[in-house]
Formats: sequence, structure tokens, C-alpha cells
Amino acid sequence: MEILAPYPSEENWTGHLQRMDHMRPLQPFAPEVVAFIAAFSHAILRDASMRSHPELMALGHWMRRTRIAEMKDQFNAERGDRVFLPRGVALHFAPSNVDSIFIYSWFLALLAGNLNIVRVSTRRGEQAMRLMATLNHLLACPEFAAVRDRSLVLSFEHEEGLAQALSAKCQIRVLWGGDQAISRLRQVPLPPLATEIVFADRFSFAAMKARAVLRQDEPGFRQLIRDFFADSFWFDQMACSSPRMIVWIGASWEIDDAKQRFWPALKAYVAERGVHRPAAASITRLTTMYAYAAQGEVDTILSSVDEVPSRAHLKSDAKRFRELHCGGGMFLERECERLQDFLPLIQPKDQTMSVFGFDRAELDEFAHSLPTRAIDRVVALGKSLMFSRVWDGVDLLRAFSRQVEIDA
Amino acid sequence: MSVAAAPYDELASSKRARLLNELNELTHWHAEHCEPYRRILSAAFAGQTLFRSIEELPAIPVRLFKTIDLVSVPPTEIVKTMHSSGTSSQGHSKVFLDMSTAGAQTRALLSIMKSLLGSKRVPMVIVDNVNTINQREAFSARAAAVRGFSQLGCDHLYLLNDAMEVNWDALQDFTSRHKGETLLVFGFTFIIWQYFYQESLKRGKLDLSDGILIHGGGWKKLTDQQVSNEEFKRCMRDQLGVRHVYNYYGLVEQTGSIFIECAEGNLHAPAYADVLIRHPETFRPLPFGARGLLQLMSNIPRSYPGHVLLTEDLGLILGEDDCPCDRKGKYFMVEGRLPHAELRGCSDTYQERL
Repeated sequence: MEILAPYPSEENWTGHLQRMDHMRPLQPFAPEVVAFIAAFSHAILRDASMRSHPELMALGHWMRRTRIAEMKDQFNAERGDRVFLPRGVALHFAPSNVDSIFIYSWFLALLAGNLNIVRVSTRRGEQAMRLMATLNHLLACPEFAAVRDRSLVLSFEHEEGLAQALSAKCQIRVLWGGDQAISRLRQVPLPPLATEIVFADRFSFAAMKARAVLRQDEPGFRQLIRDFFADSFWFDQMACSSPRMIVWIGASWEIDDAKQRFWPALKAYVAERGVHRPAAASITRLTTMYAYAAQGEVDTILSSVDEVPSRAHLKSDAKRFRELHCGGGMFLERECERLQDFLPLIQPKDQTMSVFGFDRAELDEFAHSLPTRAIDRVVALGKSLMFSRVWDGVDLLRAFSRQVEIDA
Repeated sequence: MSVAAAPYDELASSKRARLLNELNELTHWHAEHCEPYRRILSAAFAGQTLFRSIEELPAIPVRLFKTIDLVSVPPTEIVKTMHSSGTSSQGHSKVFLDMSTAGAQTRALLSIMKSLLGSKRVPMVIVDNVNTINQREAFSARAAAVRGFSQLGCDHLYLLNDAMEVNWDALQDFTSRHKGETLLVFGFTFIIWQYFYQESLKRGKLDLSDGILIHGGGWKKLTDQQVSNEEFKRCMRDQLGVRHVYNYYGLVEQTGSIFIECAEGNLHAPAYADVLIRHPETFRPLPFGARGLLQLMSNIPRSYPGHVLLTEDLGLILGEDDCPCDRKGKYFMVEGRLPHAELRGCSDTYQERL
């Protein structure tokens, strides 16, 4: 067990927890909290060493003072004259694939006024450590004592007892993770009055209208490539909302031409950006590609195995490819004449559809015909990884609040 | 020539063409008898089954045996299913054997070992417990190795009990009974180190100077303890008195056609097998002396498509046909495993400890 924040701390984690027992939750959008988040955003955006991490810059932008103010106005407008209070203690189990998720989850709960306990993976990356250092620097400031006293970020490995002890303290538990991890954590009992939000493993894809890709002028096309790159190459394509499949929409000749324009341009851009590849990435990709082929999910492997982006063509009846995907710049392709034709192929696991070339009416029609559970986000290409207070269909700010009904 | 009689006699000029023919024939066989394999050739090689060189042959990544059942004979003909003993969270390899492939494995192993031990069976100490071998339902790589090698010896002594403790009295008894005879000592590298060598340190030196120690199964756990092959040999000599220590390298997916270390410390490809080095990222074939991923070929696997495998082990080829030990064929070194980027998928928030 390691206390990551507040750090350094004179207390051990149990001492810190006991002290949190005596802390009252804050009001939604309490001034200390808003100031703390603004200071954190400022620190990230000002730090030159963060510049090489576009994911962290995105986090910094998401919580800029003006953005938080907008969120507050929106929250207040929705609330009207109703009374919203924090739930109390929010316990977050953060995923290890995206280092910044723990901040989003924690800060939204904090903005709602809650005390927060956050469990961060022991396999966190460099980005998480940078964020932690910045956080601790701010938490040490006297003006943010109110936040410090109400926050505890821990890291521990697979300790059922700890998960139990922490769960016993909370009013709301938030689980982020893969299906197995979620099932295991859900076995850990919650107090009868506590509630839970779960963000399980999801699959995401991009839908692109072939004709629109072909008709883009050069600057527009460059932007498309940049947007696609950001969506699928940040976090090494390991975020749940990173597109891993491309659904090309249009007539087959248009699709052929669009692919001819799109893939070489993306490949050149990837080379230009110099994506870092871990040593084992190639063999992992080869194994995954062959597994897809062996299981009859793909009929053609379109790229040489060491190529990024690597591509494979899905068979028309393929549906077991979602779990196997290994990230790292691998794309599965399929074609449909119209967006509507893709509806029967949607699976409950599908989360984000990032789109290019469709008008709002087409997307509305599509969204209204969606099957049970699947697809929670339809976003423009380039926005796949942008976090929003509404995630997987859940409005987090509201979920972290309770409504006191006054009917008198 | 009969390869079974002379696993280390064939020169490259002859071996290359012969092995390519055999491997092409196997590729064709598996494409016809293993649907998942056929689909891989179809998706990645346009269905081709005849290749002009060993470098061009489709190599199956060994990890694929962990996710997919690959088998080229009807289920009724399978007599044994072997499992890798790996501790990886990605599951275990499954290797399906029919009677003829199992027989070919045994014949290959015996011919390779005879070149080292001679054809007479020698008294044998197995550094393991007898129950590891007898668990029938889970036929592990370790059990397979012990069973295979035990055919080289006679009057077998299983040195460890169920609690992995050495039966010192039995060892004493065994060595005095066979005084002056050549002994074969066999076991998994880590088990010998941990349960035999480490324990013997507490009791004082042994004299197994008539022994030939053969060990395999991987260095991972010893590398973690910073024990090299040289260090291992030195310890075996100083503490156990064994002067002849040979490591072997092999995959459970290619049981039988193993690579055994010679007196020069080099691993040798027997006539049944060959080795190729590929760049870890581009998979381009690399020249002798360059470090990369080991690709292993074997002419034995017929009941499953394991004849051309891309491993995740790193190594380099030192030469061919010219090792001072006089064995022909390629000789090489293994230098550990490809470092794995930590899996950081959604799914490891709370992964089970292994």
C-alpha cells in the first residue's frame, strides 16, 4: 500500500481515512475546489515538459477555469431550484490503460462536493507520475487544505482486504476496468446505502463516408488525418474510446478510392510523428492478426506485419474480434453501403462511434435506431478521447450528487 | 542418409534443400488438415503452400498456441495433449499429439542424446518427484521432458519427494551402488538449482564426478536471481562435483528436436531442426551474429502445425558446420526473452495474482 497523494504525509492511510470520517462534504462547485482545479489546469498547461504529452495537455484544457465555470453554469441551470448535495465519500478504482482517467473521475466527484478515495494501478505510467507530482505540489498549499483533507490517492496490488475496507467507507463506488476486473471488484460488498457506477471494457470504431473523404480539399484532408491520428494513436490505441475498426460507408468504388487516399497519408503522418513502439508490439500484433485469421474473423491481412498502421479486412459475419484487439495501431475494416446497414452488426460492447462526413440528420436517424445498450457516444473524428461529464451514458456530475426532494 | 543415426553429420549444402522440402510438405499437409492454419495462409499468404526458401515459410508465433487450438488430425487420433508450464497470464499452450508424432519426438530425442551419452543406458537420477510425471490429465512440458529423457537411463532415482525435498539417503545409496559408472542426472534448470543445489549447500559438498548433468526448461527464474549459465556450471562443479553439465533449449511445441549444448557451450541444431534469427520488429531475417528473435523449424510436428515457429526468445546464430566440437549444423546462443511492454489494457485494473 502506497499513499500517492497527499504526499508527503505524516499519517498512514488508516489515519488519513479516520480523519476523513470527520470531514464534511463540500457544496457543489465550492470555491476552494474550483480554485484548486484551475490551479492544476494552469500548472499542466504552463509546464513545458507536459507539452510532449498531448493527452495531458487535453486534460489541462478540459479543466481550464473557463470550462469549469461553464460546467458550473450548466449544472446550476439544470438544477434550477432543486437541492443537489454530494453523496459523501466517492471511491474510485481507476483503470491502468489511460493514466488521466483517475483525474477526471476524481475531479467530477470533487466538483459535486464529495470526499474522494482513489485507487490507482500499480502499473501506472510516466504520465500518472507527472500528474501526481503536480497534484502533491498543489495539495501542499495552505489554500487547498480543504481539498487535501478530503482526498486520498492510493496504490495497491490485488488486496481484497483493502478493497473491502475502502468500500465499507464509501457512498458511491466507481469502477473502471476490464470485464474480469469489474466482476472481481463487484464481489466486494458495498454498504447497503451505497451505490455504484461501472465503466467496463468497451470497443470503439470510426465510421467514415467514403465520398466525403474523397471530396476533402488538401487542408481538410490533412486535418482529417491529424484527427484520426489523435483518436487512435494517443494512449497507444488502448483507450476504450480509441477507434479500432473502420466502417467505410458508400459505394464500393468510392470506398476503394477513399482507402487509396486515406491509408498512405496516415502511414506517412505516423512516420512523420515517429510513434514509439514497444519492442514486443510487432509480435503481439502478428499473433493477434493470425488469431483473427485462424478464427475466421478476417479474410485478408492487408499490411505487412511490421507496418503501422496495420490493417486487416473483416469478414462480413465477423463478431468475435472485439475482445482480442491488442491496440498499438491495428485497424479492422469493413464496408457498408449506408450507415443504417451497419446497425445489425453493432454489439453491446460498442461505445464510441467517431464519424466523418455525415450530416446531423443522418446521425440522428442512426442514433434513434440503435439497439439496446450499444453506442453511447457519436462524436466527430478527433474527439474520441475527449472526456465528457457524460460517459457511457452516465452523467457523472449528477451521479456523484443526490437530490434532496422538497415538496412542502 | 538416415538422420536418426546421425543428427549432427549433415552439411548445410545438403540440409537446406532437404529440410525445405520436408517443411514445404508439412506446410501443405497442415493447410489441408488444419482449418485455422489454412485460414492464416489464406489471409496472409494468399493461400500459398510452396515456398522457395526457409526464410519465406510462414512462421506461426508460438503465442498463438495459447489462444487457439491448432490440430491437424481427427480428435480420435490424439493420444496426448501437452501443456506449456509457463506462468504467463495469457494461458497455456496446448499441443496435440497423435501416435506417429509422439513416436517421432521420442526417436529424435533419443538419437540426439545418444550422440552425447552413447547408446548404452546409464543409471539415472531425476531431480523431480515421481508424481509430477504421473499427473495424467495435465501433461505438462516438465512431465513430458522427464518422461522423454527417462528413456535414456535405467535404475531411475526420483530424487525429490512430493514436498520437493531431496531424499539424501536414497542418493547416497544410489551413488554407492553405481560407483565408477557413468550417471545421468536430469532435471529442470530451476528445480535443480532451487531444490537440489541450494539444499545441498546446507549439507556440504557432494561427489557426483561420474555424472553428466542435463538440464533445460528455461532460465527466466535464474536470470531473476542473476545466475548465468557459466555460474550455474561452476556451482554444479564446485558443489555437486559434476564436471559435464549440458543445457538444452527447446519448445514444448517442438518436443523431441531439441537443441543441446556442446562442450564449447553452444546450442546445436540437429538434423531434425533449424534456427533462424529475425528482427524483433520488422521480422526481417538477420545474418549470423546479429541478435534477434529465434525462429525454430522442426520436421517432426505433423499432428499440429508447429513445424515453423516464431518464438519470443532472443538469441544469435554463431556459425554453421564449423563449431570446434565437430557437430555440423547451425550453432547459436539464447539470451533471454523479448522484454514485454506491460499490458496496460482496460482489463488489468485488478488482475488475478499468479
